[in-house]
Amino acid sequence: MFRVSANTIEVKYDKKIILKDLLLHIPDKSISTIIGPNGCGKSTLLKALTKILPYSKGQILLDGQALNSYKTKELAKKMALLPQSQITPAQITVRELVAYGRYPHQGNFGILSSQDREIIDWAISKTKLNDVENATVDSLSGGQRQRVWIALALAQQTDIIYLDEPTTYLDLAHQLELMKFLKQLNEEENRTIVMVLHDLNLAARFSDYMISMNSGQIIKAGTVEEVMTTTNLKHVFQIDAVISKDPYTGKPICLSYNTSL
Amino acid sequence: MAPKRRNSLLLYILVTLLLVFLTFLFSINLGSYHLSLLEVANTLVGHGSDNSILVLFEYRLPRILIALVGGAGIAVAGSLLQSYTGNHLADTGLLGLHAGASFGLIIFMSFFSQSFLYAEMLIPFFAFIGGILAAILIVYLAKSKNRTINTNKLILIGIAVSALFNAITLFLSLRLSDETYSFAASWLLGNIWARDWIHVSIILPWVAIFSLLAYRLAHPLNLLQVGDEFAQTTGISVKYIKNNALLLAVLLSSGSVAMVGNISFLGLLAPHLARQLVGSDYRLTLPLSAILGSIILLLSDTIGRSLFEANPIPAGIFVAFIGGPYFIFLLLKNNRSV
Repeated sequence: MFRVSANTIEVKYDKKIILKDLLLHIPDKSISTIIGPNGCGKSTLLKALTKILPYSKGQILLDGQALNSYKTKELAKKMALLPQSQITPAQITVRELVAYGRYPHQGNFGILSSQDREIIDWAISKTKLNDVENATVDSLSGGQRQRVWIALALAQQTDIIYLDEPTTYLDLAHQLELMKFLKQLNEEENRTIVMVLHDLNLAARFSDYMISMNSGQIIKAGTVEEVMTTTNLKHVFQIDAVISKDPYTGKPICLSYNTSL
Repeated sequence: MAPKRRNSLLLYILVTLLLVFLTFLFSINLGSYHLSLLEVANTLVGHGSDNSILVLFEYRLPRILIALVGGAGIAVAGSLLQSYTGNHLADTGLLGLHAGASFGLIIFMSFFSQSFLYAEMLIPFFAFIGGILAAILIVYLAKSKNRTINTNKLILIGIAVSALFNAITLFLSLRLSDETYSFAASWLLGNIWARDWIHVSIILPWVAIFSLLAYRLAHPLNLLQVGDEFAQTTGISVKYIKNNALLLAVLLSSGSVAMVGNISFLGLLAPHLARQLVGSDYRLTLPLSAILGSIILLLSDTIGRSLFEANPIPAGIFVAFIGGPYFIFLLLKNNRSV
């Protein structure tokens, strides 16, 4: 039940080895979250899994086939990515930007078929952007803008969606709203969701599978209960964490923490 | 907003094509040999005097066509280069591609121009070799360790490479003959020197073919605007598209400037105006940039040769007269928003 797996991969960035002998299986139709300190290689791992960065050793498999043997357009039908930062083209409307997600399914000139239009409609209503679909993306709030990029990824109609720190510029309420939306997407549409998150408690609340990393290697990957332990967090973040139970969800929660001595 | 924009698109195309036609009429009517509009019309439909036929078909028409086609080529090249660098201030002249092309051109003029009857057909190829040399040098020097291109560095290196190639061109031309030197010097000012049908017959298919190839990149270039990583995961082969954009920018700009002289700022001005009018969709801005480039260059050339009859002013000077201040305006606006 693993469509995506990395077998002892090595990834270099400018001759420096960032990921070393990394072994990973992403469970299908679930939410997986990668956590770890700054510079541990989380984003690099996401870039390797999405073929943005090449790997120099080992193999990443997608549906039993080497990732680097896929054509870019074929890959874009199987996986979508929401990168950490995006550039909004000037004056572009929500609908026009979401339509870019249809690129892997289109001819060269981006002419929309009626099926394309239906899927764009669906992506827009799914992300509750109907009211602003003809507004320019510049004019939207941060939370709405993040939903536009997600709608673009949805319009790609991929089974797998990667997100790199999707909650970064959002306030508490919007963070929660986004995570609930991803959960719904996972439950109702069986999408496999893989993301990098900084907020441990959000990760613990919404993940089925957690991957903790440090220095380019996976320290522990498993269920939330297996990863959110004092020993593991000490190992990964060099912190002494107080782990308790979330009264709303029953999931482990990090109440407070201190620098580990 | 989108439907409104779509409707106005047709209007823009009609209005700009009408503008091209008016500029054409304006230009064909003006010159040291005075022709009335009626005479022009009569001549165009085949009822002209020997003199008006000579003036119109041998002097004005080829020159007008070269200005229109060259202007379009430079504008499309500018658009492509802006996409390649991810910077709306990029211009094929500022980045040194024109200087590279001039080097190729001067080599041709010095050693091959008399080699056979239709040797002038080779001009765009020589200019292209010069242009691609400059492009390779600039891109190689501007690449940082992690293989990304720093835009500020690119522009500074472009200026340096530009100075280097211009120096070589002037040095070579000075060594060769007074004639070559005055040709090179007036070329640098943006003088439309190519005025014969043979030049039309080579520049027209050159710009037409490469502009059509560039149009195939229009939609991928749209997606590139959202960032390389995002474009990659939406199915764009980023490297392939970018390299093609650069190659076509060099082909179009070298071929065009070889004929119309060193026209700077046009590749910046035309795409910018196009974006102001129809937004950021390359499928719309590429053709509109081409039309605007044509109009601006033809107008500049017409004004330069008709208002200052005794000592015509090169078109490049008029383009720079508008383009220079516009560039400064954009620079200031850009600084404020960052």
